[in-house]
Amino acid sequence: MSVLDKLREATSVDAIKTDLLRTAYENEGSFLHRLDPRVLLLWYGIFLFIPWLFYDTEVLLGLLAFVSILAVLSRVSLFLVGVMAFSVASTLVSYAIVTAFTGDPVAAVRALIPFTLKLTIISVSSLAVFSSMGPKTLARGLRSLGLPRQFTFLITYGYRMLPVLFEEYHDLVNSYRLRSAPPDSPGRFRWRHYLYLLKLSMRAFYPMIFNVAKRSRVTVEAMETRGFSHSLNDAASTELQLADLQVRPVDIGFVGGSLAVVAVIAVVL
Amino acid sequence: MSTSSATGSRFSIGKHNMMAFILVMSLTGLQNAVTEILPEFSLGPLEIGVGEFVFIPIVLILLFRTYWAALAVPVGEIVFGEILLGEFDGLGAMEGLFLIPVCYYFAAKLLQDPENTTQLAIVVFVAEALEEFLATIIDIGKVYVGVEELEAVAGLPESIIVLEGVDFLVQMAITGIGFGVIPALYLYPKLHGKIEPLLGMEPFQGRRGASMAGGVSIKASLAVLLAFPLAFVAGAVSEVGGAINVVWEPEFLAVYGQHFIAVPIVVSAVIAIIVWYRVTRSA
Repeated sequence: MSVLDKLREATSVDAIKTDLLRTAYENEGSFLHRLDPRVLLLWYGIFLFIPWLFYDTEVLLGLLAFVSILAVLSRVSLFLVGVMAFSVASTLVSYAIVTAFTGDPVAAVRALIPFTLKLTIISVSSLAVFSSMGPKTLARGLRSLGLPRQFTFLITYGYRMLPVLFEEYHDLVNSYRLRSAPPDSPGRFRWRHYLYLLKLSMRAFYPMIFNVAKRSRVTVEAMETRGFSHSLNDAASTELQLADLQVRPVDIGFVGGSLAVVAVIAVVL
Repeated sequence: MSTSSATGSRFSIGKHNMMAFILVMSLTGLQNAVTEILPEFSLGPLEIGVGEFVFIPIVLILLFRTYWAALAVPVGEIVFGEILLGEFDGLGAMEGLFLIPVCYYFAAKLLQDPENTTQLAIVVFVAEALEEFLATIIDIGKVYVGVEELEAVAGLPESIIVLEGVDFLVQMAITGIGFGVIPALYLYPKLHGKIEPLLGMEPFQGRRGASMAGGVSIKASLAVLLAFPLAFVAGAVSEVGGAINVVWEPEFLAVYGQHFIAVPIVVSAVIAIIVWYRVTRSA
């Protein structure tokens, strides 16, 4: 078994797929999931701005630690965290390499570190909030904040359809593989093999487009039959849908508590 | 039933627009999720590998040619690729929401003769190049706004421009041509006239030998000009904290002291209370 094969095992498409779908769907038990979606959105809005108030690297590191704990509590996907960490590190490294030719790399990295840290804090907090919220809760939260129902419907629609589409696409790719011959020799680093898979995954979209077209027509017609457009302007239906959204003491405690943590970090460090 | 016109409808955005919207959204989202999984070699702002199968959204927009279809592209990316996978970056997503539809719509209007292969290739290329070019400018601008004393560090501004410029060229070669123009040339003729009737719409006929100049829509170009600054503001606010960063500089802190931090905290607390009050009252 070559090294490449081992790497592929660890990052196999199936493993990543399961991990991502788990991020999207299995967040019922996490701490942030129990909070009101509107409060979480407000919290996220606050944390979009807080990092920009500080310039000390220690304070920023403290904030990063705090949001990371929240992210761990809301069980974000390790794959996503890995992707993010790699992109942060490689951004810094690439700037350093290029500045080595045009100027002083150490000064450049030093100037970029607080900036990168702030961006990382924001991405980690959005990862924590949006992976723990779940599209259904998010859709209701946005709806109660006044977003049009057509849009929030699309979020929940995507939530239902993504696994189905994923499965269907995977089946199509597999059937294409069954019906076609792989390249005779894989070539150096198996590049022919990967090119073959890539072409195949592009061609598998062709039947997929027709499937989705039929499905979207059926969806819209079924919605119309059930009075979707009629209910759009109906206040009673909105009220019914949003009835169980309420801000409880635990929500206020969460926002107040995290602000207190930020204050402590800012004062102590 | 299958030939009813696209205008007669009870939906506020039109029944057929809704169908096309769901279709484009689902496929863009699926494409986004699939390419997310495919291996990619990214080095900071440089991305080498399968970026996206851009030919899918672009071909679908060329087929349906409505603004709604173009709007479905960023929405699909946001809903499937970001919200579902927990990567949503709030205001940062607004940048794509402003930029992608206007660029793609502008390019789609350029296609006047669906049987002219050269025209098709140019249109697909223009769609991708326009979007990518504006996004690159926004990226460079964001770093300029974000990193204080950028000019003071020798070589940093140049290196950012070099990196972003190289990234633009690599993106255009791989995503723009490899995953854009070439597959689109195969896919568009295969779908044209087949997919529209499935949704009960008339396929776009165009005019044989019509030139692209006739497709330059003033409204679409104005939309691009309008959306660009909006996208820049959204991108800048999301990544550099907006106005806070401009005022809240180290020199400012040196003058007023870190205690001044109480002011934004009090202000944000007041805003939070007002928002909370409004939300609870309306719910």
